[in-house]
Order: sequence, then structure tokens, then C-alpha cells
Amino acid sequence: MVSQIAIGGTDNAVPDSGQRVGGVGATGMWTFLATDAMGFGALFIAYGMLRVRADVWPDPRTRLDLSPAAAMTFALLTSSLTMTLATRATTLQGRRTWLMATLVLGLAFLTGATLEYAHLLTAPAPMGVTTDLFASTFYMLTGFHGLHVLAGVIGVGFMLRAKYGAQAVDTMGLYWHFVDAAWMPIFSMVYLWPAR
Amino acid sequence: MSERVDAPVRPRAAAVAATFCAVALLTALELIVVGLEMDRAARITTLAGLLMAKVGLVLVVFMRAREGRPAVRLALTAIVLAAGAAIVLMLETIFRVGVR
Repeated sequence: MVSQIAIGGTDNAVPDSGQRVGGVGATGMWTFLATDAMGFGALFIAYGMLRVRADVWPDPRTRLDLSPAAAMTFALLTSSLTMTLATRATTLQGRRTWLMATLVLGLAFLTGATLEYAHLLTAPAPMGVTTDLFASTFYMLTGFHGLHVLAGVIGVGFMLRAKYGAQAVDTMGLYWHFVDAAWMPIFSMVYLWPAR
Repeated sequence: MSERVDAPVRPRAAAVAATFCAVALLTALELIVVGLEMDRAARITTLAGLLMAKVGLVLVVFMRAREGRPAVRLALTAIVLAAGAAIVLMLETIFRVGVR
């Protein structure tokens, strides 16, 4: 009964899946995030080892434009706020509005990443995946994260199509915030940390 | 007898707004630090500190990591260990390269 209301109901009140906080969905998501964090951690460690062992490591500012990356960072950060507002919404319309805002900001981030790739690949001195270690690690880290954002955008899209319960949106929110948190070390280490 | 249902525990609106502003401010500080004339090691240490503060805020407020459920504690241990190991290892190796 509860799940019928949660997924297929037509009332304007926010449905709740009826799961307790810390139910199966949230536990599963936290477990997934733990394994995913180890994946990101492994990539960061690999990045660090390659960076300090490399004979030459360019200053990020000579290769990467900081302004678009900063704009992408603020878009992702704002999307975390809109996702939180979606979980706090008291009406379905409110929730859909904030989820839509989250979706748009996620798409803006992906568009920014795509434009950045296009700019790097078509520059007078193009930076391809195999150009050097800096380029390889850059594309690996940002590409891995970009796939996570894409998965999140698809997930939020599904949330918009059906009236999922509050707990389901909460669980999706955990994933979205994790993706936001995972971008922070990438932005800091890849874009900001100076070369030796 | 109806089944008791707990509503999801959500952070207060003021806490959410304050966290968003704080993380935005910390990001702006990162951008300012990059433009400052300072020693490379000090810059990286400052950026790492700002980074950890940002991630901590997102974990605690947005992801409500303080709820203390066993699954959350397990996940947090993995997340903190993975991120912490990566950052410490990088700082340590950067320091070693600097000494060398």
C-alpha cells in the first residue's frame, strides 16, 4: 500500500516509502559509496605517485583554464544544495522543482566538462589522452568522475519520471552529495596544486 | 495497530544554507590562495586543509554522517581512510621530493 502511494500515487502530498532511516536502500547506498570511495582513493593515490615520480610535471595553470573549472565546481556545489532542498520539500511539486534544478546543474557540469575536453583536444597544442602523464591522469580522474555525474543525472531523471518516496530521494541525495564531495579533491589536486 | 514510520532525519534549513555558504566561501578561498605569492609547500598544505574542511562539511551536513548508524560508520571509515591515505601519501611524497 505504502509503495503504491509512493510510486504511483496521484496526490500532491509527498509520499514516503515507509522505510526507516537507515533502511535497506540507505544501507545499500552507503555500502556502495564505501566501495566507490576506495575506487576514487586508489585513483588519487595513483595520481599522487605518478605525479611525484614524474621527471616533468607541468603547472596546471599552463594547461587548464581555471575559470570554467571553478564555474563547474560552483554548479556542482549548488546542485548539492538543490538536492538537499528536494529531500526537504513538503510537496511533490516542490520536490520535482528542486530535482529539476539539480538535473539542470548536473547537465551544466557535464556540458562544461565536454567543452573543456573539446577545447583541450582542439587547441593549437592539443592535449590528448596519451600526450603525457599529466594528460592521462587528468582524463582518467575527470572522466571517472564525469561518468558518476552522468549516472547521477540519469538517476535524477528517473526520480522525475516517477513519484518516488522520500526515502528514495534521500538515498539518491546521498549519491549526489558523494559525487560532489569526490569532485572537491579532483578540483584541488588536479587544477590547483602547483607543480614542483 | 499501525506500523510506526520514522520520517527521514533532515538537516535544518539554516544549517543547509550555512553549509552551502561555507563551502562556497572555502572554494573561493582556494582560488584566492592559488593567486597568492607563497611557498609551494605552504600553498599545498593550505589547499589540502581547505579541501578537507569542504569534504568534511559535505559529509557531516549534507550526507548526515553524524547519525551514527553501523552502515554509515563502516562507509565513513572507508571513505575517510581512502581520502586520508591519498592526501597523506601525496603530502609525504611531495615533502620527500622537496627534501631530495
